[in-house]
Amino acid sequence: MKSIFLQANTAIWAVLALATGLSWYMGGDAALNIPAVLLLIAFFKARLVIMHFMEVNHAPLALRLAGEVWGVVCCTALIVLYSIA
Amino acid sequence: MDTTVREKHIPGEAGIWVFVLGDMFIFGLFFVTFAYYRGLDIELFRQSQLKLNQNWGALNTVLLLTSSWFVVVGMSAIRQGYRSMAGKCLSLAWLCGLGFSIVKFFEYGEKINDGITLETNDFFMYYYIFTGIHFLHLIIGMGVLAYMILRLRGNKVLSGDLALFESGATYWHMVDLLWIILFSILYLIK
Repeated sequence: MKSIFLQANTAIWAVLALATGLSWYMGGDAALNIPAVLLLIAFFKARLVIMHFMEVNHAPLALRLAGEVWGVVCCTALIVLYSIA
Repeated sequence: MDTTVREKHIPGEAGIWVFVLGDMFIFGLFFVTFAYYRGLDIELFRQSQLKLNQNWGALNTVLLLTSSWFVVVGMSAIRQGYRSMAGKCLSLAWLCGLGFSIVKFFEYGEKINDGITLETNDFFMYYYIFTGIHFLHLIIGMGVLAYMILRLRGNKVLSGDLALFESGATYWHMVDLLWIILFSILYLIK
């Protein structure tokens, strides 16, 4: 029973919570409010959810690719749009 | 590591992935649309964002992340046949969803009391539409979780229902994942 709590996904949750705290702090500090960095943190978190919580890392290649492509395309498009704004 | 997860396994029904990937694509378009129009009037978007409470957004992010973790643990319990533990985990995930809803109602109420509506400006139009559509997804997800909890109360063999539980879990994680990006572009990046 213990093993269901002491699994790698519990550490993933802790990383996600810490990343949320870090981006919350950066979001509130004008000097640290760097769009590209905040976007990279957000999509890093999204990738953790897709690969680990949604178990896409154990899925066939097509589904893994779909998950990776979504993150890379959205993140790149947003970083470009925020950079040229 | 959950060793019960097989290699090369599609979690849930294939159909749920068509829906989830379609939804993620549509939200991707929402994110890009928002970033494009922000670029046309950065100052208006920045001033409007300052009226949002970043702390509520962060609290809701942690609530959804935690609910997702409860669902992950609940799924492990289902795979190992711990029916009662799975029910408790999914109920806690549902309560986190309820917490998100309460914060959202409070947040919307605060804005509406300040006279900020969908028609105030472009930023708030996107804010209400995107968070509103996401909220609708969350309400549906809470219904899905409630159905899963009720299903666990029966005597049916859990392994026979695994694809159904995995589909529900996948949908709930998508609700969490979309909020992560919304939180970042609506509340954080100024």
